[in-house]
Amino acid sequence: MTLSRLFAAVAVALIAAPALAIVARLAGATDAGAVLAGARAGELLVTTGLLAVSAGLVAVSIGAVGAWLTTRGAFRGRALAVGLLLSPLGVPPYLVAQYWIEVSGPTGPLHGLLGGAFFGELWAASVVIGLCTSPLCFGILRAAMARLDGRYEDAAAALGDGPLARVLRVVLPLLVPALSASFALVALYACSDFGAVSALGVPTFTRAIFFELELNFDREAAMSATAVLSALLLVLAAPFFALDRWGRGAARFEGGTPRPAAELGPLGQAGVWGVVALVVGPTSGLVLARTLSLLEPGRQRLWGKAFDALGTTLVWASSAATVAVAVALLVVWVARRRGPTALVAAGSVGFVLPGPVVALGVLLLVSATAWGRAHLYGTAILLVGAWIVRALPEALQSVDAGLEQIPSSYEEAARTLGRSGVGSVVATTLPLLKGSLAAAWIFVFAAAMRELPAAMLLKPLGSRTLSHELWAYAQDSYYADMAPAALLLLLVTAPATSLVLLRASRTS
Amino acid sequence: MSLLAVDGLTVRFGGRAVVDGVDLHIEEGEVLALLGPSGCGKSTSLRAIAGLQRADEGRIVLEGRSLSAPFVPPERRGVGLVFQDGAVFPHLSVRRNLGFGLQGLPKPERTQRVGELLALLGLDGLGDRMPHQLSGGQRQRVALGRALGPRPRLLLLDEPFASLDAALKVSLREDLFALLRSLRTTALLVTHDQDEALEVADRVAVMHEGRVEQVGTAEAILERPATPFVAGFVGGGALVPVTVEGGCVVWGSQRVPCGRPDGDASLVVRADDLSVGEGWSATATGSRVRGARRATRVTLDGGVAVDVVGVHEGAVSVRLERVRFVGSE
Repeated sequence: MTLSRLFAAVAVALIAAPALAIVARLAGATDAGAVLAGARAGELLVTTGLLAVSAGLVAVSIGAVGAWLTTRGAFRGRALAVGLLLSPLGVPPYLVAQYWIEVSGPTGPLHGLLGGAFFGELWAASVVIGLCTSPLCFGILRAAMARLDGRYEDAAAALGDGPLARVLRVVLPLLVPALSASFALVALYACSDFGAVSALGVPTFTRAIFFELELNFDREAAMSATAVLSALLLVLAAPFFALDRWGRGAARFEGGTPRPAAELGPLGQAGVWGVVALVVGPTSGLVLARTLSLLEPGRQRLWGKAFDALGTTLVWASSAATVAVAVALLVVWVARRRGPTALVAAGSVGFVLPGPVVALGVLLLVSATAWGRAHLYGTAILLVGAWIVRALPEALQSVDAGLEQIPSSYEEAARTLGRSGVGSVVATTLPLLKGSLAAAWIFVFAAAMRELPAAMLLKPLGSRTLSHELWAYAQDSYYADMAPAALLLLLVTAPATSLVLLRASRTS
Repeated sequence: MSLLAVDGLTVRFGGRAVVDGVDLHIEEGEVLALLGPSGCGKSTSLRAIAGLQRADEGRIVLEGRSLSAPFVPPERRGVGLVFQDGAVFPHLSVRRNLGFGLQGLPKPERTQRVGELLALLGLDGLGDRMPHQLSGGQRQRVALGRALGPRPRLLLLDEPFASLDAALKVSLREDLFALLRSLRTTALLVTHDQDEALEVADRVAVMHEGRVEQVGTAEAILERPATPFVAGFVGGGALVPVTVEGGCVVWGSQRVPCGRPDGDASLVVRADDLSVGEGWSATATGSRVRGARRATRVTLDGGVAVDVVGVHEGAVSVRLERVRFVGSE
């Protein structure tokens, strides 16, 4: 089966190529663009770092409190609370950020209440990103808390620790890996977020890279400058990446007897529903406002444009999802059954590359050859490719976790019963893996549907994705006009995301 | 000519020969057990015969047809394989598992064959069950039926009873091997369980560190172990170094006649080879040896420990009733 290995190696090489193109560009970046980028690096470094840390703290605090109260507390409506705490995951942070500007801006209802300067942009972005990513932390921490062996606390109690001392001396230390992993995940997300920070005007690396690429007419200088900025961003993200890996590895302590949930008192219940309100408030306000604005006269004419954008985005996003799942299946199968396992890690480079950086890599790659410039430039292939690079890590992870459960003896049994190499995979592993493949497909699809910066930089002339459509309205402060596009986006991505969440909650 | 002839089979993992020049010959209708401790290379040998593992050296010939050069992929070898965990496809019903290897047959014949297999393996009425609805023993029956479906020329069994509990293991083993006998199936059974090997196989090949140390009937392996490893691994017993003088084994003050030339030799001594009486003086420690017979561990003067029945504690003399040499010469 050297052929499958060859295909997998080629696929991984293609996935890693944009990153390598940036590295290659960096080696020769000594021109004015690079120098200019270097001069701004200090400010960007501080802002991006602060945003990553504060968004991480917001998300982890919300996630930890919600997870603790819903694992250890028994109360009416617990399943509903869990569902609501997970619900913002389907909502793109830029929609929430735009909604925040709308309500707190000069004409917004909260403007007088907050006195305008109540929140700086950086802190507003931290809260928005923290709220939108808190379901990730909630999910990770809830799983970790559910696995936590209650006997450790019993042992501490027997040794004289009170309730607070037990939490501080036993529970928290045991949860450090899960807390670190979820913090790092949000921090990495914040480093790569474009939509929310740009809507709120926070000068981060990702935003700077995007505008450099979008607005600088000197293409050569722009590419050098963004290559330098991308490299600096990766340096900033590296510790978060390491923390994420460490936390995930260390979180695999032995399972035990979980502590049974205790009846939650009135104070605890108020706490749960308070956290739920905090998490669900902005997104439900957003959905309500958009639905209401649909009722205003004259909005109906906007449906046509929204449906055009939806059609385009559906085709591109489902192409990206289908190719990504096929690539993930090939790479994971070859890595696990034939080796080397490093193929999976190599295919996951997109995990640390924000959308504009991937877009830059794709542009560098395509413009490197005359054939690329003539045949690929300006086609949707670039955008679909960028989405695949960006979302492949999650697809790989989902398929890898699925394949881990399937012993190779099924394929071997099929071989001895007369099936060819490919035939044995199709007859045994593929049907057993379909849940993981579906989850991977939905994840890539939903991520592509809402992706913004690469869509703006790489889309063919004359077409727009839904996210780009939304962005254009928000730029011009036509918030009410966003309604059809925003609701269509949420309608398509929310069910997809909840399917993934449902599956995750069933398996954990 | 043997049905299966394996000569000089060698498989290396990272430069280490896990299977190191193995020769095996199986006759038509014969059940051969490949017995050895875990990690001795027996499963790797079986996988090489099935084509799931490429051999680095050696020849594998089935019914006069070479499978090794050029390499014949597993699906074209006509060899059935039963895995330790059964590997019954969890997404297919019993019926579809049994029919998996029969896709070359027309539909009516396939249905008929699956019906035969269900009856043969005592799975009547379970055809529409899913594997997770079966007991461990039933799953192994399905695994065997699935492998027998295409009527393979050779059936390979890789520790097929290892994951079952002790009581079930014995009854299922008797049942399934009676079936294989009645079908005159040629089979190679890989196992680490000597009772299993000695009970069901016509001949046993004992494997150790990648090599076959002895091939023979159960009687030959037990009574004439070829190497110290075989003597120790199969049938238990202690290895006692002795000298032969004047055609007799020197056993303390006892002289036991044997047909060997003079010199050093090695005996394998089991509890029923010894009695209390004039012979080798020893010290009984009083510790009981576990097992059916109530033997006691006794240390012969000179340091070798053997098991003797009917001894308690203190100084004794042990008499050798039966001479069993290790190695032919």
